[in-house]
Amino acid sequence: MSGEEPHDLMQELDLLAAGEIELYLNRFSELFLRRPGEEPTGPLVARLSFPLSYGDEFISLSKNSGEEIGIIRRLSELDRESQGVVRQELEWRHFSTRITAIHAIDVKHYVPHWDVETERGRRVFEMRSRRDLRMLGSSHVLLRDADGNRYEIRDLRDLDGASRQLIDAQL
Amino acid sequence: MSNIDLGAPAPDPSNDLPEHLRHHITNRLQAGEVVHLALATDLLPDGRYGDAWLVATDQRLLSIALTGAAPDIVDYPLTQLQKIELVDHHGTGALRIRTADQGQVMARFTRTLMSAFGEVPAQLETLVQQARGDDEQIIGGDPGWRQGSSRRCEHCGRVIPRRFGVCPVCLETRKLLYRLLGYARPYTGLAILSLSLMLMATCIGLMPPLLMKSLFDDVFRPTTSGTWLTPYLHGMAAPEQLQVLALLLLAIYVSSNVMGAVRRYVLAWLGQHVTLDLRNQVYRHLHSLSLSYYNERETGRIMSSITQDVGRLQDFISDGLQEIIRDVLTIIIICSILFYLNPTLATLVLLPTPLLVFTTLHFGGKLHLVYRGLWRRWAGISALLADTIPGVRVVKAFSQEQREVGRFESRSAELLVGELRAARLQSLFSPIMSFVTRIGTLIIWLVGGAKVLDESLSLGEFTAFTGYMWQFYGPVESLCRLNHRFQRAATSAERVFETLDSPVDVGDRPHAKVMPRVEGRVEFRDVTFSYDEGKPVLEHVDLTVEPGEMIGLAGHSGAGKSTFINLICRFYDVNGGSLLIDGHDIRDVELKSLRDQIGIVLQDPFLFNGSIADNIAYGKPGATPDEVLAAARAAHAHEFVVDLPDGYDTLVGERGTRLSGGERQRVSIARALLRDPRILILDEATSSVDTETEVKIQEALERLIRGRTTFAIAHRLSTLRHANRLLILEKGQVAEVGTHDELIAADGIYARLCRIQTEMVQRKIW
Repeated sequence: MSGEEPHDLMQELDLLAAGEIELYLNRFSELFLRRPGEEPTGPLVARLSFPLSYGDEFISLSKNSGEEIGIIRRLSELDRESQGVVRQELEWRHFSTRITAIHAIDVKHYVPHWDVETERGRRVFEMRSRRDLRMLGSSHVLLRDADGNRYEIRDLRDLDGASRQLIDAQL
Repeated sequence: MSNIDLGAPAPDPSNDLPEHLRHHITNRLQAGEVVHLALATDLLPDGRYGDAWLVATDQRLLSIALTGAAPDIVDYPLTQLQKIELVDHHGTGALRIRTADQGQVMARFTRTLMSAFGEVPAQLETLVQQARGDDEQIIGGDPGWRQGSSRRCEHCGRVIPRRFGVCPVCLETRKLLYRLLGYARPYTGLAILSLSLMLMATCIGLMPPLLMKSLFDDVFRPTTSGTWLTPYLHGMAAPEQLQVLALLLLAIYVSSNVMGAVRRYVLAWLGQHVTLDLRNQVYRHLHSLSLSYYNERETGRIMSSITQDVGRLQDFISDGLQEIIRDVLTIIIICSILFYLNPTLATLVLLPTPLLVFTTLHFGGKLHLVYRGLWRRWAGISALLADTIPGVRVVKAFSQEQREVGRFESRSAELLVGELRAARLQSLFSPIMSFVTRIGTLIIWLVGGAKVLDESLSLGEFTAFTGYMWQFYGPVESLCRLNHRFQRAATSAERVFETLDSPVDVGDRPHAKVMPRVEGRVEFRDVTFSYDEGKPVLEHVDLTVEPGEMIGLAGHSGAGKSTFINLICRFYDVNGGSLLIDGHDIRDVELKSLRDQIGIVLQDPFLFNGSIADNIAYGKPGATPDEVLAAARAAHAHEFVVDLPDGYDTLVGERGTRLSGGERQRVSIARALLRDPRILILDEATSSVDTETEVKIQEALERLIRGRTTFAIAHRLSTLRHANRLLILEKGQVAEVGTHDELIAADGIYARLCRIQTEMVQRKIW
């Protein structure tokens, strides 16, 4: 009992050896994992553990049943093809649109309507409350519209003056 | 029962005995017998209010009821007493003694005196022990009144109004305000600057009526006596004179406003800086106070001492004091000018002032009461809403909607009555005030006008009088509220200083050592502890826990399990004995270095506003995401966290996602594990998670507690099956220690608890 070294907490972190695995979509467009000489595992769900603070690190892979099969430390550790497949999966899951300019924020019946230019094209959305606007650091803004869609402004300083003025009133 | 601090009462309070009582007992006392204790009670043996006493000498205990001509006296030699106890009859209390062959109530008293009698048994015990020459304990039941109720002031014994929280009579207003001003001392220069700006602005602000006088007496209808400006205006044509006066008026308006603006900013700066210092000091001090401080006070009150009270003090420091000076100054200047202009008229014009003061005070007091009542009715309505809306399921289930609507409507109607009363008073108050203030003008017209007609008063003086009348009433009214203002500031100051003056009872001793890396040997040596004096929660606990050992704590609710843990964390200091970790008395090491090596999971885990990752890393700021993830996986929090849209970046707490009780517990387990603590404390750590998850967490914990000293409290005894030893507490004492098998074999409390739980499980299964 005494003198025994405590169990190292880091052993609890179950990382997948990126060099030994390959991820691909089967013919039903489902995500599968293959280790050389083993039966493929899947279909899998890929999720980011820290979607906001650590982007494409700590990707959790789990079966549809919810059972986690492991964590990929960094997406870049995977081979190029696997990376593409996983990135696309993550993209659909953590779907967020970058706002590049703000045309107008009109309040109608107490609901702000945001008319914005995004990387995916122009869009108008409504926000339910101030709480759906979250600052990450001093210039990264996350937005969630009334239906739960996500948008972000990576850096407030990159916006043009008119957009800045519009959003400053909301922050 | 320890009474180290309760020595024998100071001898001979007989000097304090009232004459009539002394008269009755002196002839009963033997030569050399000294009175040690004399306490008045307020109930006679038959239950009437009356004059009765409990007197203890070094030889006897006497109960004296002063009824009628001959007092009723019972007395017992101290050596015969075998038991002394306080009895709580709820409505009244009694002190009862017992000798070998009989029992007797020596004093009865109302609830008012309960705390006064709280210490009597211990004092009597000391006397009895001295008289008998042994130290046998004879105290029986002790309802624990000693703590003293905080409902009464410690100094004067008066009832403390709940909303004050401090005794309004004992407030040393002047002393408090003086101490408060001490906080402004670093900014003396600024304070003087703003004060002089204000004085100048005040003086300048009082100029316009004098200019008006000059306008009439020098320009419109020049008089022979002229004004103070006549020499300067001499030789100018009337239009030029007018221009000069207009320019002067412009200069006055501009300069007084500029000064006002500067002063306002300087004052705001000053007030904000003083309160910044005060606010931070209060908050810093709050964090150095032990848990007992928080246990004794309402959270709301503590919070309001930082928000409301400090704000009020700022208001007083920056505005209140200076306004008072300004008002007094204004009144003095106006009075002097008026008397200078025309003493007779000035006397007449100032005559209504007492009436004004009286009206303001009278109506002010009434309005205050009415508005307070109104506020209370509003609070009543809020309370009703806060009650029924969250409880709407119950209301519907018992179909009591009609009754709830009725209750609301009656409160609503009461509110209407109150509002109307306030409106009535308010609509009466304004006209009366405005009438009273116009009496002055009336007098000026009547008397001053007559003087203008017989030319003993110039037109300019007449207008100046009118002008000053208007500037006179504001300051008078505001000074009428002076007392209220002082009282409010002093009350706030008292509450703030009360917090600041609370002693740090659990703190670093001078020369406290840094706790070296803990091996994990925890020793309780004859530990006794009580939250309230006289009600021990742990008594004479002796226990040595080896490094790496897991101790399971079990026992009935209130047996002292959580207290046991509070002591290891040194949330409280032991009252008797000592607690050692690796041979260091934990009172001799730096608190931070001790607590940094302890990880604790509480039954009701508290999460702060912030992301889940922040909460897990709370005890180890700067932890890497790998560590956060590893800790979360070990605590089986990872499974649900990664399923949230923002994963570990999801906000929790008041403004974020709501987590279930079990989820919060898992986050808090991760938080404790991440610290890599040398001593791990699990207080019902898995009580809210489902059985399946609990089993998983237990598996992880089993790995993680290896090599760490662990204390685990659990009601579900199966949770403790990995414990090296089980500690069963019963009424503050260690009732059983041993492994599961040993305790089952011993067939004691643990064995019984186990049987009950197994039966319950079986019953559920069947």
